[in-house]
Amino acid sequence: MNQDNNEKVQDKAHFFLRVLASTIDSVTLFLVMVWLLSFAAASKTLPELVYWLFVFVLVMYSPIWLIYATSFIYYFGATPGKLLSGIKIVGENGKKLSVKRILFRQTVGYLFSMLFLGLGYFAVLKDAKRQAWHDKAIGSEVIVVRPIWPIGLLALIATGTLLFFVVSSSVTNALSGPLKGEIEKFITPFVKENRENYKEDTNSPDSEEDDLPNSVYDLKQI
Amino acid sequence: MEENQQPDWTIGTLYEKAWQIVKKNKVLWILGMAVASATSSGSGNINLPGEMFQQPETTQKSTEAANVLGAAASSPFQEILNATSPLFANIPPYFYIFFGLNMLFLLVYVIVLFVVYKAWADGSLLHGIELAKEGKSVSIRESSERAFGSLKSLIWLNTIPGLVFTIVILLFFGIFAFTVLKTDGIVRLITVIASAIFMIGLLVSAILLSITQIWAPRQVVIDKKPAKKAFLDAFTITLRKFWASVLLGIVNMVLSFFLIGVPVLLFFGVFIFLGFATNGNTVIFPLTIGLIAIAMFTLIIGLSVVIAAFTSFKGTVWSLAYHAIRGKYDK
Repeated sequence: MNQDNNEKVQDKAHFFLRVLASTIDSVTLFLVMVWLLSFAAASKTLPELVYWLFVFVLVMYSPIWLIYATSFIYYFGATPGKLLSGIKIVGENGKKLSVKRILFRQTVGYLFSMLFLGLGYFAVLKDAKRQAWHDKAIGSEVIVVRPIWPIGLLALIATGTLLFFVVSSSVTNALSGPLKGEIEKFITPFVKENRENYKEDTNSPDSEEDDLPNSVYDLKQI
Repeated sequence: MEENQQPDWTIGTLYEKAWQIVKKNKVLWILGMAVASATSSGSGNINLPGEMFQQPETTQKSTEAANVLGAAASSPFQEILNATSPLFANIPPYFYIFFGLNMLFLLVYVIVLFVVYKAWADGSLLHGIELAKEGKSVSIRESSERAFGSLKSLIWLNTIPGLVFTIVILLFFGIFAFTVLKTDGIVRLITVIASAIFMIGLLVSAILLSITQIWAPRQVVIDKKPAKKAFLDAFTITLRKFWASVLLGIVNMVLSFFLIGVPVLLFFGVFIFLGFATNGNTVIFPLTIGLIAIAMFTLIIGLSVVIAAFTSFKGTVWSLAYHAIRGKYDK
């Protein structure tokens, strides 16, 4: 009996395997976010920057992510991160979950698991069936389909590295491109106006002690 | 409002039994935390109408102040608006439509999510309490699965009565404001007096609705009644057991104050005093701030556990009270 139970528990995905899968999904999401923002960083003018920021907000706050996660779990039993980690989400007795249950798990279930500083997620560590609270809420289990977690780990390293390069190139573009000058040109009139208002209020003419910056990029010199 | 001669329950007995149940079944605390988090999230007020009226007033006031001081005309807000308008020149019109749809979806999503979450949390806790009362093992799995069966009715109970009541209040204030602004003399006086009476009526209705919303979910979960029937029967119970229900509610509130309110007040009192007392001391003050931060974190964790246990305890008290009057007053 103990051997049977041990074998059954081994079928269930361990906490760290689930963390690996979630991290792959999160890093992939960040990669998409940063990729969109890289277009904004490469903008040459402020209207172009605003355009790409608009695109970013439209994509990131659209229902596409919920549809994406639900569709993957419904058709493949797992999100890409879980597929790469060799695990999948099934109902009790190994049955496929319905769309309603998947939606509930991904929304209400995750909210429930976040209680007590995410204790619902850590419940996997102590639970006999390795279920988190959102699994218990709808009767799902996360099982190991194939032991390919090294592929998941490689995928995580690859996506993480790609993310790092996209972030660095975006930052470089933003700091060295024409955008920096455009932002400076936009903000400088406000800084100058505040400076003039300050002089009027204090009745102080130009003096050696007057060290207000002429532009926002002079702030770094202070 | 009729009352039975013999009390159906005594608060002491309810509390004792409820505590035994809650102490033995810690899973109820988790479900209690879910209910508490759903209730606190949903109780935030969106003062959108107030904010919308505030801005023009602020702009007007700043313009008046500028004129009084003899300073040059335009407000900072107007300047920012003029400066930023050209930035949106590249945005095609259909982007605004998609943006509006996105925001609408987000709003609907958040509302639906919390309505479903609250209904599920309430249902799970009530089912968990029933399992515990029957001496069965309480689990999140079993409680949640049973809650799915009551979900639609609980969603109805959590939304429709409150929505109708809110519409009545808004209509009342709308009519009141319109009548007061458009009339004067004796008509306005009569309107104000009638409105005061109506507001007292609204207050009583709010109390009746609150108590009905305690009995109704138990009618759904325990007696498996459909939502509308549960609400109407619960209202009947409320009228017949009004004072006993109000007394139980008040005792719960007082207990809640001592369990939750007092520690919070004590904490803030002691640490505000410490903060002021050590202010200016460059060595002790940072240490005090650090100590306050650690204490605050500990307080939040501790209070979360207390709130979780107390919410499940309160739920159990009301469920036991319902069992004491079940079938007696809802005809």
